[in-house]
Parts: sequence; structure tokens; C-alpha cells
Amino acid sequence: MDFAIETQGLSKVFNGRHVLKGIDLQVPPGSIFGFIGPNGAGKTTTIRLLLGLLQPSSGQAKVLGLNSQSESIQLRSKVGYVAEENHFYPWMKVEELVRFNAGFYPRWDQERARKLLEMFDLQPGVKVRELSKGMRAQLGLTLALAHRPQMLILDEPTSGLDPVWRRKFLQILTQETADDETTVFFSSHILSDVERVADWLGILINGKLRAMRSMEDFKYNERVVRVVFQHPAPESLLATDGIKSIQRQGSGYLLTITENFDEIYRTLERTPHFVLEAVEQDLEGVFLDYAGEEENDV
Amino acid sequence: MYYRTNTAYTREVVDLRLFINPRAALPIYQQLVDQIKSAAASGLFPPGSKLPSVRELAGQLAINANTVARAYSILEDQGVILRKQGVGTFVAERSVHKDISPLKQALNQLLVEAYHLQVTPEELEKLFQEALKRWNKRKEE
Repeated sequence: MDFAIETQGLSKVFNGRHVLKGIDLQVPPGSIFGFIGPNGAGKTTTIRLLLGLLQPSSGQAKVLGLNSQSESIQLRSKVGYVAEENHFYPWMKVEELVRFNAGFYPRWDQERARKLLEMFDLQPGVKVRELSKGMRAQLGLTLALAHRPQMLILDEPTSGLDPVWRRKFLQILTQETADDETTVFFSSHILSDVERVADWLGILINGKLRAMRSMEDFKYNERVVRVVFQHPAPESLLATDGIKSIQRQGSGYLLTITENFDEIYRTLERTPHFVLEAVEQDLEGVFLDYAGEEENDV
Repeated sequence: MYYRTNTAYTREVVDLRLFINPRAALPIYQQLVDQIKSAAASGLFPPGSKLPSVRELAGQLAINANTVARAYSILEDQGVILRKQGVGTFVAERSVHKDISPLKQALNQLLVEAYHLQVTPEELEKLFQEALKRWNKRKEE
């Protein structure tokens, strides 16, 4: 498969600090890929490297088959980008900013821009400086979508927005990228948004890509199992691939499973036990787990 | 158009009365499948009613369009809905279930629960008859 985004050993060092430590991203075309991680994990750096706004210290990135370094200009004409802070010219009116942006893109679709402004209730005559944070985010999405990009890259698009604005933003985003061709790559630390719209997930912690899989796989396999064995626990069982961590209290165990859930659970079922239950984890639980693990490594 | 007013965006409930909980362990596509099946069976969505397009439903619920498309194709395979090229998606006249294994599975689950609650087979049969009666009565209304 040709991935919509593919990186190999992508790294960035700023003043001797390793911000990104060799990540291999693979984003399937047509997916909505949620890129999550704590503040300072390197999400924005990754995005800037993908767009060719920064040069990698080592490794390489391809977006829509184009090299992020050598083909950055062509790449950016095919990608809609919404930065975390939208630094629009504050003195411009919304309609002026739309016209200004139209000039940069051969595929600009004025009718789509008009419709999006209407959907978002953005008044063309209002000056950018008068817009709220939520409105500016919507204007950013409008400008990004109006040139009919094959890919949208959004950096923390909903952070700082209240639930009403967030929902509205996500509704337009999901509706306007519903065709099979558009890929969306968005970074976020608002996990409920990611759970709602993403079908693929990457977890970036401390400059390392700790997990990358489909949301379904993630929800199915990332679980905690509580088990109390009748006899001493078989060592081989506890060493099975896919068990990430084991906490023990007497004959009770808490197994954090990350892969291979079905097989592990079936084996546990066959082993004499008093208690066996799988605890469902939401994304937040899984995320905290990964983040905590990383802290222990340091 | 539904995106005229600001408030319409924020509601979880659409005119279809579908709810989704993204945080639940049950995948979102399965939540949609279950709810549309239940709504079609109870008469809330009568046969022939038109369902929103993939794009519309994705937008209304603010969920991934691939998820909606997946739910629709499962429902189509199960004979719950019909997709007419270029016209839209509709609740089927009558679901033709060729594969009744989901039903058998649900019955097994029921027997397991009954065992743990120490419900006798006779009591279980009585409960089943009562449920059936309530169900039929509701459908007539």
C-alpha cells in the first residue's frame, strides 16, 4: 500500500536536545489519523517536518508520495494545513483573507469557501481581529478545505475551544472529508475528540512513537485483566507475548495487555482461577499507561 | 438545512434518535448497527424510511465516515437496509436473515445469565412469553 504519509527514522535535534528520536509513521490513505501525545512530545515538530517547514536532523518523510524536503512546494499545494495558532493578518476582513489565500492555490474552489463560511456562520465583512478563537479555528479549516486538498494536516485544531465549538468543528471536518480520498492527520491531546473521529492512532511520547494501530485494534487489544489463580501462576503464561505489565498482590494479578488479547484470555480461561475479568479501558486509560511507562524509563 | 442554526450542531441526538458513545469499548460502528437494527425492528424506523447518507450521518454525529460506511455495509449484508444506487439508503421491507447465528449466540448468552441468576427453565420460559407479549403489543400500537 502507498501510505498517505510515510516517515523513516525521522529525527530532529534542537540545540543538542533530541526532540524527535527516529519515528516511522505510516498513515493509510483515506483515514483520519489521530496523533496524540502530551505537551512537548514532539507533535508540532513532526508536523513541521512533514510539511517541509523544518529540515530533519536525520531520516526522511514523504507526504502523498512527495519528499517533504525536496518537494515541499508541490506538497503544500496538495495539503490543507491548519496550525495551532492561526496568525492571520488581523486587519483583513474574512472575505479579503479568503481572496488573498485563493491566489496561492490553482485548485481553489470559491463556491466551497463560500459554503463553508456559511456553514460556520462566519460573516465575510468581519475583521479577523474581531473573531473569537473558535471562529479563527473555523476560518483556518475553511481556508484549508477550500483548495480541495488530498490531505488535511491539523495541529491541535480543537485545543482551547469549548465543547460547543469543538463539536461544530468536528462535524464540518467529518462531513467535508467523508469521501474516500481525503486523508486527515491531526495532532491532539483532547482524547475524547480523537476517540470520536479517528480510525487510526499514533501515540508519541517523549519523541518516540510508542504505538501506531487502528482504533479498533487498539480498543480490542489494549485491556487490563484481573485474575486470581487457584494455584501458583504458571510462569510461562505470564511471559506470553502481548502482556505489557504485571502487577501482583497475593494470588491476584492485574495484567495489562497490549496485543494478542484473544489468545491470552483463552489461556487464562483454561487455567484454574477464582476470578477472571477483562476491564475495558478507554483511550485515556491507555494513554496514561503509556505516558507513565515512559516516565519510569527515564 | 440542518446546519442553519448553531444549536443543531451540539446535539448528540439527530432526527434519527441515534446516540453514540465514543468512549465505550463497543466499537462505534457496532453501536450504530445495534441501534438501527433495534429501531427498525421496533417500528421506530418503518420499512421504506430513508436513512441519511454516509456523509450526512458522519457530519451529524461528528464521527468518521469510514465508521458509518462500515455500519451501513454490515446492515446491508444482514438485510436490514437497502442501498439504491443514486437514490439513497432505506430501511428494508423485511429483514431476510439467512444467517441466524447471532440469534443463537444471544440465546446462549441468555441461558448463561439465567443459570447464574438461578432462574429455572420454567421461569425463563414464562419470562420469554411475557417479553414476547409486550413486544407484540408495542408493535401493534
